[in-house]
Amino acid sequence: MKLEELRQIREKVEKQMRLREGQARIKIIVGMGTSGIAAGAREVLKTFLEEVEKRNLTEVIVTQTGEKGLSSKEPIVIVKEQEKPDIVYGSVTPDIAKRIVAEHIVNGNPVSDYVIEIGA
Amino acid sequence: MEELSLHIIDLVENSLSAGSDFINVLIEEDTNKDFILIIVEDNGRGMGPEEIKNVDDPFYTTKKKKVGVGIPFLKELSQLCEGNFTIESKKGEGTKVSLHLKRSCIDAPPMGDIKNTIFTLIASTEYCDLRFFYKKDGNDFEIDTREIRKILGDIPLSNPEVLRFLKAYIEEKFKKIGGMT
Ligand SMILES: Nc1ncnc2c1ncn2[C@@H]1O[C@H](COP(=O)(O)OP(=O)(O)OP(=O)(O)O)[C@@H](O)[C@H]1O
Ligand SMILES: [Mg+2]
Repeated sequence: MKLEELRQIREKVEKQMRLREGQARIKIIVGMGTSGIAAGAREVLKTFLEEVEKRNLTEVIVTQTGEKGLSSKEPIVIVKEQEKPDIVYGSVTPDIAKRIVAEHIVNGNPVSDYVIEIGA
Repeated sequence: MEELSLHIIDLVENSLSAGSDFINVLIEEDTNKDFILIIVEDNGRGMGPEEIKNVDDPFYTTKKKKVGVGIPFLKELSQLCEGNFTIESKKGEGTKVSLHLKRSCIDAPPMGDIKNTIFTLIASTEYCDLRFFYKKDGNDFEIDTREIRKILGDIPLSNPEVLRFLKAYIEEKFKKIGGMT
């Protein structure tokens, strides 16, 4: 495999993006400070990437932050959606990550049992 | 933390928190020569001499720390495992953290899932570029988000098509070098 193969992917994705212009973008941020990592944040991050891939979620960005002091309920996950308040999840496991994708990202219903904060 | 690859994530996160826009990670394992070398180098805000001294002294930290994590742990580990741990840093220029260990040391955590560690970090680092150079028993593998982004333009690395590619790409490279899959 060569990185050059990404050029075709770019063309394909750009075409798709033009068709979907104006659609909301959702950002999933996984907290990866020391205590987050120790509590299993890497597996959670990996699960989100797998779900995005499996479900072909082109409007979702998965990213991470090393900022600390967010919560004692690690691993934490923040879902940011345009024109909606940020939703912060605590004590997230790979299984809960799957639920967040299925129920919140795809169907628009936050998984309320694990929401620890609703931001501005 | 029971895997060295989790400590690598931790060091990369320190570099990210320091506002770096490029992080260079070198990981080398050698069975015959019996060593593990991990270097994380960044161009973030850096530290002055006083700060460096405080960072690797567990009694200096202001926060309560769990045992077994962070820079003090890595320093202690290097002492237990006939290795060494160094931080070189310059305010405003960047930081280089190096960890050297005897691989067969009983106190050394296993490398762990290094393949997935590289994949998840590469795919989810939005504003900072990342280069991994992994060498195992003489065979090496390199991946650099600067090269990837040059080809991809504005398309995020966590786009599903891109993820599929990156996963297969990293998988293939690991097979080639006979690393853990
Ligand atoms: N690469 C780096 N560049 C600049 N400063 C750093 C770097 N790595 C560590 N430091 C400094 O050393 C401090 C201690 O680092 P350490 O990883 O032990 O704890 P922390 O990152 O503050 O907290 P935690 O890792 O628990 O979330 C940091 O707060 C930061 O000031
Ligand atoms: Mg840290």
